[in-house]
Amino acid sequence: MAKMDHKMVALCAAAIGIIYSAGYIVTAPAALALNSPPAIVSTQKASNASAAPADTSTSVSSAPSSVTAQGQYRDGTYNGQGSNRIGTVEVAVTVKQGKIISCQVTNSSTHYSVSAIDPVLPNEVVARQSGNVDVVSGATRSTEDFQTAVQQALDQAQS
Amino acid sequence: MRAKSAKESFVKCQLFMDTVISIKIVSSRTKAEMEESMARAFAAFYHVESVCSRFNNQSEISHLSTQLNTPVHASSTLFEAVRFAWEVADFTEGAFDPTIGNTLELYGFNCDYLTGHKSVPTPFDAKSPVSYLDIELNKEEQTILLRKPLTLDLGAIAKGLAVDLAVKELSQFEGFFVDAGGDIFAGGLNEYEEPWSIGIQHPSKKEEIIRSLQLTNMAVCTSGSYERLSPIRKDAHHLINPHSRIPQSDSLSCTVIAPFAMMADAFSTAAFILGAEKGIQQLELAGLDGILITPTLEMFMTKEMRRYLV
Repeated sequence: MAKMDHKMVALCAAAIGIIYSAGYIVTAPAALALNSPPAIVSTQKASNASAAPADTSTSVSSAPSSVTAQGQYRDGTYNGQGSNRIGTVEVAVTVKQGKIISCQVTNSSTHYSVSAIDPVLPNEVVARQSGNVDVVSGATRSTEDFQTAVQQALDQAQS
Repeated sequence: MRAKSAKESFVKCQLFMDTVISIKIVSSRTKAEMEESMARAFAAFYHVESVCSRFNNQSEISHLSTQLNTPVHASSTLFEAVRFAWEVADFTEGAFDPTIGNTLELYGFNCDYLTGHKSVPTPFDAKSPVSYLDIELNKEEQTILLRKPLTLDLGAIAKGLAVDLAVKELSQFEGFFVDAGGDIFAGGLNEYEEPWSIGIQHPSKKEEIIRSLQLTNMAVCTSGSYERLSPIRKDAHHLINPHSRIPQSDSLSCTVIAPFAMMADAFSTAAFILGAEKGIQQLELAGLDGILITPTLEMFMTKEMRRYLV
């Protein structure tokens, strides 16, 4: 059955390689200079990007930011804060062309780590009784703890 | 306790795909360089989510799911993702199946996590079950054809795919990890210049880990029934057997180590669905290692798994 392992690994490697080299439009740099033009990842042109219906975007309706259709978000970055059973979290939600393009965790007293320069280890590691692990693999954690904070930010984007 | 960190590291978290994505880079290079690569790595998540999310009716996959018996031209991302999902489905004889979307919708897994908007359920004939065999792929034309009304769900590989793309942006650094809410790729060495140590979450004690692994340049993904519960059916979780269409209850969690996160992601789901004995067999057949934990906390593992255990 050794041939079979090679088959699945090879298929996976090929798929990732093709997707990466096809390129994709980067519209969500973390620093989010909102006016900077989208950059293209990888050396080749993102020729397929225009074929994706997702890219036929909603830019028309979001052009003048003062007028928004119902349920439409205004462009900008909005902060939200929320408390949950573990503590307080803060997020910065960025909307561009009416779409949510990123949702950065800016502060968190929960077991999620936040942007930090070491020597501070992610709080997550400290909270676990396990000591010396760098990171924990588990069933995908949901974003439930962040919902209030995200909602607060989106409320501002709609008002 | 470890000695003081020898190397600088940089961590950032963003929400994508209804989970928290953490990226850490260990490097002696400038913070600006790390930030730039990190932004590109996060962009991979944005990209994959905007193509592959069935919760967003603007996504390419949602559009595809509305087209019946028509070859639809797909972007490379969608085509390759569906093709890989199809191959895994075929390899696991349908224990893993990307046409599980309708069943997940019936269990109430149909909300956009950021906006709370519900996705529109697709018309679905419960009497006529669907499977991956109802998906026709044309490699030359790069088209996908659905033979029956069905909802594609790439939830079991999309995170892995995004992790693997992010890895391509980060592999230039001495050490890094990408953690997509528990689906991880750890590259190079940590800030103490050791291989990364990765805990496997205890399936019933949330704040504890049950085993630790040590590895480098490998992906580790865990499928577990303890985190995502159905909002409408009591005791139901999201790891549903595509054949019986009921949640699998013989496993609590399954952790798989693979050279790619997309593989680890897909096979942790497949092995979870197959249960202890068959699941472990399936992993060995695919040349992967893993641990499966049952509700009595009994552990089953592949023969070679021990080399990763600390």
